Amino acid sequence: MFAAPAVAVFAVFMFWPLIKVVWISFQKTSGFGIARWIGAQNYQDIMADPIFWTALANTALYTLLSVPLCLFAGLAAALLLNKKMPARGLIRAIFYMPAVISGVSSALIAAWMFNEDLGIVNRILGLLGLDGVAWQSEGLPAMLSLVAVSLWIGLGFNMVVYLAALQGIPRQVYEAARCDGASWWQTLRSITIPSLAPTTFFLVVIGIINSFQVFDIVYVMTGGGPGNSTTMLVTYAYSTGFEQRQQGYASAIGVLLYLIVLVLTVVQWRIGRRRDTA
Amino acid sequence: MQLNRRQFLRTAIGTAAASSLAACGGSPSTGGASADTLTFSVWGSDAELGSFNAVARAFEKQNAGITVKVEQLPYQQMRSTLDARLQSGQGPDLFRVTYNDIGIYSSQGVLQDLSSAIGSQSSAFDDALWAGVQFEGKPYGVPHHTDTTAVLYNKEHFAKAGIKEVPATLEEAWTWEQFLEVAEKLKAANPGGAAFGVNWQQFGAFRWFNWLWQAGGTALGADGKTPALDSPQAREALALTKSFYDKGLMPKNMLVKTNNSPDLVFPSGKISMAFVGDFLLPDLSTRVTDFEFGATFLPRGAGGAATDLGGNAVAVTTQSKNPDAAAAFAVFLASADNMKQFCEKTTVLPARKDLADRHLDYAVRPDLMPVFQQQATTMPPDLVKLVTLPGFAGVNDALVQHLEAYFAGGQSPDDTIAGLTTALKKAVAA
Repeated sequence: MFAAPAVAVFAVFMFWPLIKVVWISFQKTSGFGIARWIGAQNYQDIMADPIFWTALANTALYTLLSVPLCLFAGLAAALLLNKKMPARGLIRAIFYMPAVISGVSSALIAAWMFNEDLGIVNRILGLLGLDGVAWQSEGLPAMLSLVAVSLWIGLGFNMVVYLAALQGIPRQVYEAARCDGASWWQTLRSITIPSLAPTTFFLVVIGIINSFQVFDIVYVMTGGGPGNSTTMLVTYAYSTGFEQRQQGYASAIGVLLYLIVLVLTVVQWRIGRRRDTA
Repeated sequence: MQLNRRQFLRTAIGTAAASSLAACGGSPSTGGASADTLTFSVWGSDAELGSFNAVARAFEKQNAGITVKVEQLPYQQMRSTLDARLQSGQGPDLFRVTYNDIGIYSSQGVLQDLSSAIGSQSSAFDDALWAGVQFEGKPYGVPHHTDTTAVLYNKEHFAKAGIKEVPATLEEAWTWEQFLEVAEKLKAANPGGAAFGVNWQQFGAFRWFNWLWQAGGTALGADGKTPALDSPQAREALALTKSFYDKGLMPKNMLVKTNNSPDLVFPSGKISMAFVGDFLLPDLSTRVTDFEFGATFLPRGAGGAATDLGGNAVAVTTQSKNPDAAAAFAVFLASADNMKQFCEKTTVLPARKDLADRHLDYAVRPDLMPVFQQQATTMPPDLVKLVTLPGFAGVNDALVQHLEAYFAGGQSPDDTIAGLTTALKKAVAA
């Protein structure tokens, strides 16, 4: 009974749309007029679509780069800000601010920062006597600019979660280690990082899910270009669904994205469970 | 941090599903909810919004009991937002629509036939624009205005490059060769910058067709149905436009998929010439503060001069609670007086024949508007027909994909032409 509101919200806003998207993915429809049932044709077309595979590879690359970086930076920031220092609250707030600001606003700011001609990043490089980087016209720099922005946006969330977890580690364990003469590095490696394992697991799963669904910063900063070098699964689904008005095809991409994230999560979960029971 | 993995997994899967679907959905609105309130969805600059609101207030005065709510949507999201609303039966009463996009809406039955509302006024509109709002012989929109592209140039850069003569009439417009010579001079005189930027980004990708028509080419054959892109003229236009990037005449970060359009960069002085629509003059006049700028014509190729059909119509949806009042407001927007005022304030061109020869007192840079007015006379009729096909949005999307791949992704001209030809076939069949 108490769960009824939550179940209702889940059913209306999550479960029903999921069923609907699966249903639409078997249709040919522009969203208007009469939809035509075409069976698995959308899925067959996707398998032969080179842009889909490029988008999948780009999304995987983006995930591989951004998730570990965000984890590492979040942990480093949490360790630093877990100590007593001046203006600690202000610095924590500054780190967390990008996570609060809307993704589109952050991406708009980043788009100007990484503008090849007018952006502050290339201007600073110029002041240092370095050549500007082709953030918008070459594939790899464009991808790196997205990873940099994802780090900026994602760091704060990881930091806050790690901070909470750090404060849950019993002080006595550190005191015992200190009595045994453990160095800072030994304490970090043997106490802190193992104690944070469940948190790291949580952040890895959330990070992978978020990275596979990256949309706003790509849409605003690169539009998926140059070429298709930063086209991601969700930007491709958006483009086919709302710009090309192939909503059945876009739904099929959405369903595949769901399955990919589901498989990755299950694999992660099994690995985590096996390690814990070993 | 203690987590129950089973519970967490369930939550994570649910989150993944919800977020995946969020990217594929739209949010409904309450547009068109009441019979005495008309919701008019538009995108636009401050000047355009001000003009729409002024006409709305005048309509309310003449039609007691009717309120017109001018609702602003971001241009980039206009199409997806409207589509989502129309699909869920929550469409606005009226909306602003490009001539390129009206076909998809009219062919899918979400627009009102405006024949009776427009009545005898049908002959008042420019023939090409009137043809642009037709579907199966009936008008599904009221032509509101048109606009077109011309070239703005930085006078300081021109002086520095020693370029003293700038074409002042259509007949004097630079040939492609002359244009490239001018561009090379500008590039040499302004190190670190590029000579020009062309406005074929995203929804404007169809403006690449200007170069095809200038080359003497066409996209569809004489029957208006058979793709005719596989031609020497198309290859010539492709080669020329790719050379803009290869020679460093156009910034490499101003490709087709990007948001980085010439009007955004021109005020910085990083490009010396910008291909822009006249509707951008109010905004550019405010943002260009460091130099004087003038306007000249698009270059012409072996096939002569050609420019694109820009501008917008106003359409009434079948979901309007008060379709008669909505249609009356659409017609009111396009009356001679209201259209004249809108054009004067927003520096666009009228869609009515009776305003074509009248003096318009443009609020911003009236000295430049004659260039755009003359350039507008070079819209090829078959290009106008092409861009108003119901399936043309698919051609524009194919241009975005294939031009980007051709300019920056190493795609061959053959594959580019083949990809565009496929999109043209789909557009004709739509």
